[in-house]
Amino acid sequence: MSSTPYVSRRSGSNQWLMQRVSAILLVGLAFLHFAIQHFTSDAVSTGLTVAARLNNVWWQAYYALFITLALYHGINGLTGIIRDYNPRPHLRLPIELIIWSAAAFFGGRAIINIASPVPVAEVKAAYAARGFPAGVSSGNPPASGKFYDFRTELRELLLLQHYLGKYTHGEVKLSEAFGPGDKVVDASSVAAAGDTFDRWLNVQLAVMPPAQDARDRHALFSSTYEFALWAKDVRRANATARELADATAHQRSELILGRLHQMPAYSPVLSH
Amino acid sequence: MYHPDRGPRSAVTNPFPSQVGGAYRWFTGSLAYVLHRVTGLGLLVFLFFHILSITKANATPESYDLMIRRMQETDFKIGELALFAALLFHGLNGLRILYVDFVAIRTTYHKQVLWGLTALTALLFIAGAYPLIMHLNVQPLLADVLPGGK
Repeated sequence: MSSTPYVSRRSGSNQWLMQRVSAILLVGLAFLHFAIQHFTSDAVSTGLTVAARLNNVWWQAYYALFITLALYHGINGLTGIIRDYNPRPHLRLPIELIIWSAAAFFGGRAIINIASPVPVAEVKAAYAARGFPAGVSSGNPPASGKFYDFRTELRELLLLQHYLGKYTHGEVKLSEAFGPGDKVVDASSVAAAGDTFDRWLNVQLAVMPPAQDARDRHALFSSTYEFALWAKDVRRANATARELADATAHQRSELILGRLHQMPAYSPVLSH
Repeated sequence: MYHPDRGPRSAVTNPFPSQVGGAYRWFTGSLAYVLHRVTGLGLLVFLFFHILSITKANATPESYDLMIRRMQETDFKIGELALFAALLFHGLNGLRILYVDFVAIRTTYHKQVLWGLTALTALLFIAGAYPLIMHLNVQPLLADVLPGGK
């Protein structure tokens, strides 16, 4: 039995203490970051929500702190491991110089990224123009390996509803914009919900947009007007894509039918 | 005084005596120690890679999409699971180290704490791996609000 318990805090070195201090902060920062990116529907890969986060000053501060602490903690730990192997004095200095310079380089790169995000408006324009075509910006694929196709009207409406719900925080009743949702079961009711939504969009766009200084620049959509403007683009682009796909399918079927007509009639007798 | 390297159980707990197996003495604590180092190094390497890939993805919305799309493929999915496991273990074991260093300075419960932590890590990993593998983070958006979406 020893009278004094084992305490690993013997040297009292700053490096040792700072490793613990950064660890406490990093546990929260890292787990929150991982949870947001992997366990919420915000991670739908349209990049819109990510762009909105990176354009927010508080999130920028969060990530600047996170990246600085993570690099410090990591390189500090690596230094400790290297010192455990007791390299020769003339090697130790260059090794530590190299890893700290690497950390400074990557940290600088990361801070530049955080300080220069793509503006939300630009991201919104890019996605609206392409109308979330399949495979390019269609979210994470399900386990079967197929990509979500947001050109199919139901998925498109679900996505628009997601963003409308996200912006309004309950101000707009979703049933108001999409009609009573309890009867959306087949293609015609999806089309009816789409029509209701288009009418609602036109009503929203008829109202005066909010004044420039009343806009919330950090919000994904700073007003219902702005959402309607964007949603109308998405609806238009997707409708065009759907029509194009239908036309192509029709053309192909015509081609196949034409070839079938040119085929000679089936005869059971082989003839050469 | 009990010492894991010199007790009667050393032959059982230590399959590699220090002369053969190198500098590490293998017992519960050393396993956690080695795993903490390995996961820490892995996370540092990942951090460098992550900064580079974000730099590439930051150029345009299209390049961000391409990155996300690439990261949903099987090899990166396995890497994502490994990252999740490493992050969980390193973070929770780090909390254990803080607990050992600042709170429970006596060694009475070290092993129990470690096994409890291992169980917690395994539990959280299984709970989180399921949505990761099934891509549940983006499964039908608000399907419960608009019937017919399921």
